[in-house]
Formats: sequence, structure tokens, C-alpha cells
Amino acid sequence: MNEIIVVGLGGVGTALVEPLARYMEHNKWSCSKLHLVDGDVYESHNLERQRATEAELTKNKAEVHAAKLKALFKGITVIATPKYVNEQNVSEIVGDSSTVFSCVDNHKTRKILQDRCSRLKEVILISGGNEYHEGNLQVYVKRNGRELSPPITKYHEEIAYPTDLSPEEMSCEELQESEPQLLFTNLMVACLMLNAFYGCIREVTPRYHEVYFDILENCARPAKR
Amino acid sequence: MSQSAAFLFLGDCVFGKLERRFAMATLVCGCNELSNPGFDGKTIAEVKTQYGQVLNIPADDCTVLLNDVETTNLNQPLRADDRVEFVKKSGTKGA
Repeated sequence: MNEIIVVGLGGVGTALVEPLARYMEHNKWSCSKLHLVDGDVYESHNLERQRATEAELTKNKAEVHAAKLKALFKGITVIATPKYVNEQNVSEIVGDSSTVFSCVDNHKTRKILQDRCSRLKEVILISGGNEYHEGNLQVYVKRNGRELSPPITKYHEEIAYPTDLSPEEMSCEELQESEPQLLFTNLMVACLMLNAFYGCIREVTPRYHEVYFDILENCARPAKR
Repeated sequence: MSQSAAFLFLGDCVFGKLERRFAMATLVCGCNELSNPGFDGKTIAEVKTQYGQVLNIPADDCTVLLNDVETTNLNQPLRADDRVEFVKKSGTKGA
């Protein structure tokens, strides 16, 4: 595994990176490079869910978290790319033998990441998403050029044919009008994504391809297809 | 037939019948799951309408899997042991 890439440092991404970096630092494991990718900057409305302070407002999210993780964990290399992933730069960002955590807020970027991962020989893509109190995560694993799970677009037309816009295509007003989210739901997605990651590095074939959850019901259901 | 083979045969008849009697179709959507002998004989479209609210099935078109195989024939009647999944759309947010 060359590197771990976290795309999106919002409610899910910021909850996920610290335990992930801690695991990388303290476990004997072949990968020690963590790459954080996000073109967004912190705004005051982010503070209710995302791990940022008032002093970090207007600063790039990927750079803020890379600096924090570098200070906490000296045994790993943390790099930041302050850009949104798009069709033009995805091949520079996601290379072979990567693990990609997709913590974005739009299906268009999920599709770009899946398309890129489908072209690689060795890759793990863990994609999470949520609504207000429910959500899911999907796992795509390809080893030695062989798909061990269906692409995240397979049963999800909303990702295969996205009708939403990427953050780069949205106006400031559209970005501000984003649907409300719940901190606890973001934490649940982050936790399930890390569980899936652990499963993928421990076992060759993933035990499940998707997990649905609902925090009001406090339940989660893994699905293998 | 030996005595033990006779017992096995009898057991298979009894438990086989019981198993068939208690086998029931299952509906799945997101993390919700519902099994009910009353589903047998109803079509996928009927159970979708009837249990859509209970299972939180999306009102618009969603991918339907019958025993893990994608199907577009919603007029298909369900049999005992069938498992129908209405694939819930992926969560959009996260950032």
C-alpha cells in the first residue's frame, strides 16, 4: 500500500483522520503516508460539526488538518492538497496501491473517484455518505487487477449518473444552502468507514460491500452482493 | 431401511414440512428488514406499496434485487424464502 488518501475534510473526514493517523503511527503496517485532499476553507457554519476552531476560519481544511496531524504523529508523513478532486486532477491524486476514503458531499465526486479506482490494479475505495440521521458506506476492493466487490456505482444509479454538482461547480449561495447534517451521523459514518478499512487490511476479500445505518434506530446492516 | 435411516427419513419429512410451513419472504430496505408469511403470493409492487412506509422504501424508482439478482419485473409474485431488497440510495452528505 503506497498511501492512504482522505478526500473531503468535512464532518466525516475530520472525525476519521485522527484515529486513522493514530492507527498508522502505532501499528506495524507498511503504509505511513497520509494524503489529505480538500479545496474548501473553514467557515463559521462548519464549527457545529467539524473539528475546527475560530482561529482556523478561512484556512484550507486539508492544510489545517495536515498541520495538526504532523504535530501529533511524527512517525507518519502527512501531506495536504488544497484542491477539490475533479476529472482533470484525479489521476495525479489517486495512484495505484492506494486506499481512498471518500468523505465528500456529492455523488459527482464519488463517481470520479470510482472511475479512477476502476482503472487501477490495486486499490481500496471506502465511500461514506449520510442524510440527517441515516446513511451508508460502500467498499470497493481491487487486488491484482481483479474486482473483489462491485463498483460503488453498480446498484446506485444516483452515483452512476449523478445529477448533483461538485463543489467547484456550485455558486457560493448553493454551497451555503447545503442540507443540514447531524454531528452524530457524521461520527457514525466515520466509525463504520474505519471498521471497513480494518476489515480490508486484515482480510483479502471484504466480508460486505455496503453497510446501511440509522442512528435513530441505532442499527446497522451489512450487505454483500 | 435400517432403523436409523428410517428416523432420518421421518425427521426430514417432519422438519422439512415445518421448515416449508415457517419459511417466509423477507423485505429489506436500508437497515430495515421484515419477514412475514403474508408476503407469499403478493407481487413485489404490492408489497412495495403496502410496506413502503414501514420499511422507508424510496417512493421513486430504486434498484430491486430479488434473491440478490437485479429485477425490473415488479409483478412477480413472491414465494416463501424469497428475499427482496429495495436498494436505498446512497447518502449524499458527509462533508
